[in-house]
Order: sequence, then C-alpha cells, then structure tokens
Amino acid sequence: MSVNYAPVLWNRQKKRYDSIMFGLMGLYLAVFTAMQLAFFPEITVETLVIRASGTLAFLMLHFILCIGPLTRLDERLMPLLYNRRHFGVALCCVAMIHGVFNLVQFHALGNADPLVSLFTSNTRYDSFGGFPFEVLGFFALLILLMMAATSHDFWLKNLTPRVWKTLHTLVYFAYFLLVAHVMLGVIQLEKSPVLIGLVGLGALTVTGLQVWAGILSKKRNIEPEAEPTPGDGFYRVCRVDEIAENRAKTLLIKDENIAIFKYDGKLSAVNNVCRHQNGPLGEGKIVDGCITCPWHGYQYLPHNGQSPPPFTEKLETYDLKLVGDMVYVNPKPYPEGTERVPCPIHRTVEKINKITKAHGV
Amino acid sequence: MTPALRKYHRRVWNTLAIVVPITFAAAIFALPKAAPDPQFNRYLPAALPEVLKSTETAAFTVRRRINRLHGEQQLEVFVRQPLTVPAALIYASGKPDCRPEESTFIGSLSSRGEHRFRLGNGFSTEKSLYLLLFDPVKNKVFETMII
Repeated sequence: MSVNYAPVLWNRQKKRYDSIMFGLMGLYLAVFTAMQLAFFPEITVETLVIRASGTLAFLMLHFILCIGPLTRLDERLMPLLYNRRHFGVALCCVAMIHGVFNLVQFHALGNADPLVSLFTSNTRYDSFGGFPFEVLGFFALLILLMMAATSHDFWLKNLTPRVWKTLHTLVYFAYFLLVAHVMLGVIQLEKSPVLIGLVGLGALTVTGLQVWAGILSKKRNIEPEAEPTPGDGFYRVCRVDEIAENRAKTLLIKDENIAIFKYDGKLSAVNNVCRHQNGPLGEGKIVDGCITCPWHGYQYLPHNGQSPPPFTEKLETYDLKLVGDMVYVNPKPYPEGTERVPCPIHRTVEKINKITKAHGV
Repeated sequence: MTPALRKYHRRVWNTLAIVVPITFAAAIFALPKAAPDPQFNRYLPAALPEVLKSTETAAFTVRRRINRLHGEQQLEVFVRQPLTVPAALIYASGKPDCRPEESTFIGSLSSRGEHRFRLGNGFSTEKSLYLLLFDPVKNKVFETMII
C-alpha cells in the first residue's frame, strides 16, 4: 500500500524476487550462448542476441501466464503473484532488445525507413505460410510495451482497476500473436522438430493450466448464490459455524460480491473486491484486526470497510443479522467506508455449535 | 478477481484453447516440403548455352556463360554456403587490382542459391574477368575471383 508514488517500493520480498528472476535470466542466457557457440560456431553476435532475447522473452511470457492459474490451484505459489509485474517489465525489456536488433539487422540498412520496411518488405499478407510474421511480433511488442508502461500503481489508480485490468488482459492476445510469430517465422525456416515440440509443449501447458484453473474455480463456486427470504430484503447465507474464524464466506447476490468475515465473536460484511487490483478479499484473512487481501496485502477494517490511516481505500459495507445460528445478509450496499455495527455471535449459538461439532453433527 | 473478470478469463482461454492449437497445426501443415530456395526468382534469366569458363571457391561456384550467336555474356554465381555478410555486391573488371569504384557493378547477392547477371559488351571473351565481392556495410572487398 502506498501513500506517495515511488518508482518501486522496495522491500525484502521484492529484492529477493528480482534477484532470483535476474539470476535465472542470466543463467538461461549463459547456457543458451554456450549451446549456440557449440552448435553454430560461425554465429555472429547480432544473430546470437536476436536468438537469445527472442527465446528468453517467449519463455518468460509462458512462465508469466502460468503464474495466475498455478496460484489458483495451489495457494503456496502466491508469492509468485505478488511481484508478477516485475516479471512483465523485464519481459518487455528483453522483447525490446529482440525487436530492436531485428529491426536494425533486417530493415535498417536499406533505402526505406525501417518501420516502413518492416511492413512492406514482405507483402504476402494473403498467404498463411509466407505471412509477414515480423508484423505479428511488432504488434505483440506494442502490447507488451503498453503493459509495462502502465504497470505502476499510478496507472492502476488513475485508469481505475477495471480499465487497467481490461487493458492488461491484452496479454492474452499478445500471447496468440507471439505463438503465430514463432510458428510462421522461425519454425517455417528452421523446421526443427525440437523447436516445434517446445512451442507445442509451451502452448499446451499454458492453455491447459488456464482452462483447468477456470474449470476448478467454477466447480468450487466461490461466489454461490444465496437464498432470498421474502419481505425484509435479507438473504439466507449459511450457518455461523460454516465460516472459519478470521476467514470469510463469499457469495454473489444480484451482482453484489460480498465477503462475510467472522472474527472476535462477531460478523461483518464488506465488498469482496479489493480496491487495489480487484483481488478476492474473501480468500484472505483477518490479520491484526484487519481484512488482508491475499494478493498484495492491502488491508481494511471489517466494521467500516476503511483502510487504516493514512491509507484511503474504502469498501462498501452490508447489513447482517443472525437468526438462531443462520446468517443473513442484505445485499443493498452502504456507501464505501460506512460504519456498520458488527453482528455479535451469541454465546448460546457458539456453545451449540461447539456441541454439535463435537458430536459430528 | 471479480466474477465478471473470472467469466471473461474463462471465455478468453476457452477460445485460445481452440485457436492456438489450430494455428499451431496449420503452421505445421504449411511447412514447406522442400528447403526453401530464397533465391528462387521467376525473373531469373535463362542460362546461356555455353560455359566459357568456371571457377570455384569454398562458398561460390562461378561460371561465365556466352551465347556466341547473339554475342551475349552472362555471369552465373551459385552461392553454396550462407553469406557471412548481410549484403554482397559484385563488381567486374578486365584488369587486375582494381577497386570497386574503378570496376563495373554487376549485381548483388542476397542468399544461398543461383544468381545470374548479364555482363555487358565491354568484357572481352579472350581475357580473364576479375570479380570483386564487396561488403557495402563494412566498405571492404571480402573476396576476389578470376574467371
């Protein structure tokens, strides 16, 4: 969370993340260079840079696209998600090196402007096998550049999380462009079964993971519909003991995404969407009395949906009531930051729940 | 992630799960059967009937062809190995130790394969032809041949 904008708010985790990331990138480049020099001793420096940066960027993109679904499948991989944007910016830099070197090597030494040459040197736009694959790479690079340029929290806040996130989903289109760029480019020329196999494996891994994570999240029904009760506008949610201590039950009622937290013998309901990057607050927990987003640690007070001072993010709050041991919520939201008295969990209810649990009922 | 975004993600990836494999398979299907001859050019002139002289180096096979009936001369260059320079220009001269600026520009080589160039009438068939291969990027002659 930040009050003032700084280029990077360095902390121990970020430094460790970046160190590992750059270390792995360096290792890949060293191994790749050694292999290229072993198999192609006549290779020039420019060709080596183009190949190394291109393959590294492609590999990094695959890894980035796997982080999201992997964290949904296994929460222990969450640390990979926290600084994913660092990975994205590094990917963009590597892709830029690849793009610039290609532009200079193949388009800068003629009579035409290099960018004009990029689009006009191969005009077989009506052919599939001979399609100007460089153009595909160019547009993918533009998308990556846009994402890197807007990766800072400043843009997240000023574009609003919804617009920002929508812009950043263009990475999926960039992925498709890059698969086509590789398949219609180097694969058409080299026809190497190893390269073909690797690209196929990468595509299978990324698409498979994303589809599988999507199916699993649908099955888990993280935001189940609640049951309406007539008259008072409240909806029946669940029994109190179905909500773990310092955790939440999430549900979706009439497009209201609600998280009901249980803590200190009380219940509070807030909007489930973190104001930072739309993270699922309901998958987080109460830490030091604050709802803590599992993605980046943004915090909110459960009784009023406000971030603790000096931070200013706020959530909508909702009314709750307890009838016996059944929790009810009114999906009509109060304005962001409105204080609502937490719903106390009666001692009788607690005792009943303990007894029924002990007897396995 | 909001439910709307989750739904959007599912739709996008379900679409990509179809489109990406189709693109992959189509590209495999479109792989050229034979090694592409980048120099294949429908404007490549036909070879003249008689080979006057030929010479060979590690990377090039060069033939001087003539058509005695019409008095035409032709230079045929077959590039066997990939060029180590991004562009190569051919200059010809009837005299040894000439610089490119003192020679006649014949044409350019771009890649492996066959190239044919018309030689003007200024080159006597009785005398040897001195060929210079010039790299315009580094501004130096990287190969000379006598044919």
